[in-house]
Amino acid sequence: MTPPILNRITVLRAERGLSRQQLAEALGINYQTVGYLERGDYNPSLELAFRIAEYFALPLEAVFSRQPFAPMSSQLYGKEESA
Amino acid sequence: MTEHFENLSVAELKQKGVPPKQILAEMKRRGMSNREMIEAWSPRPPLSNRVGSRTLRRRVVIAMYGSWLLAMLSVALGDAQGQAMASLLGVLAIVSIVAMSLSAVWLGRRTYVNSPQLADRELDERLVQVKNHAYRTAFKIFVGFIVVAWPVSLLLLFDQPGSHGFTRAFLIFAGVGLLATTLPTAVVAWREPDPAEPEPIPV
Repeated sequence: MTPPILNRITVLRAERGLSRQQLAEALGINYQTVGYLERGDYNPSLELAFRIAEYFALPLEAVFSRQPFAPMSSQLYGKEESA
Repeated sequence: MTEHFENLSVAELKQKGVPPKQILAEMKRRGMSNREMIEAWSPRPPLSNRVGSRTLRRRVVIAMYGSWLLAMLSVALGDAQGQAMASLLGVLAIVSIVAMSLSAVWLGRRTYVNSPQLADRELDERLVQVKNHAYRTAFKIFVGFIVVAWPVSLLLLFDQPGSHGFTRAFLIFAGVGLLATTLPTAVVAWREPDPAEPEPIPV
């Protein structure tokens, strides 16, 4: 079975204080689709995935991954410690 | 004052109680077309807000196809009964056909995939997938129905010559027509979950 594609859209949206409606309008999609994306019920096309990553000004792999995401805080502290 | 308006949407200007004439002047200043002005003045609710709950949609689907079955049954039974009963069943058949038509209209207005009205460009990529999937499923059901309905209607026409056979065959064809025009919409209405309420915009 193909592993699911995970994403950080919920966290990124919350960080920026956006509602689903606002994010949906910015991305040109239905707001329900944002909910589907966040729950992992729908995998976006490559075109939409790029649009999402570009909107958050992050590389694609920072938003989508096949592996479970480590919490952002631990990633940040981990980097500081190794530097 | 004009600078203050610049960052506000038309809805926000209305909320603030700005007089309509001033809002109109502001919209003109922004170079909005007539269509944009109308849409900004009275925005249509988002598509998903116009979709009923899944329970309600399923009930309408059952009512629509159930009404057609009831009409079929009324006609079939009407032939075998006496005059008084036949009249009653005739009324029931007419009521069923009216209920079927009303359900079809309601369903067409309250579903994402109301095919003639919603082109792909009005749907996002997920909804286009939902629509395509609905058409595939509808096609499979429709072909299955045709495979049964076609020989049955021919059998009725040849076995019961005259108005009896014709009426029954006509009702079967009416069912074919109903399925052909409503099935993709009914599939979406049946499957799509309840629409989620839009979240309030964070302040």
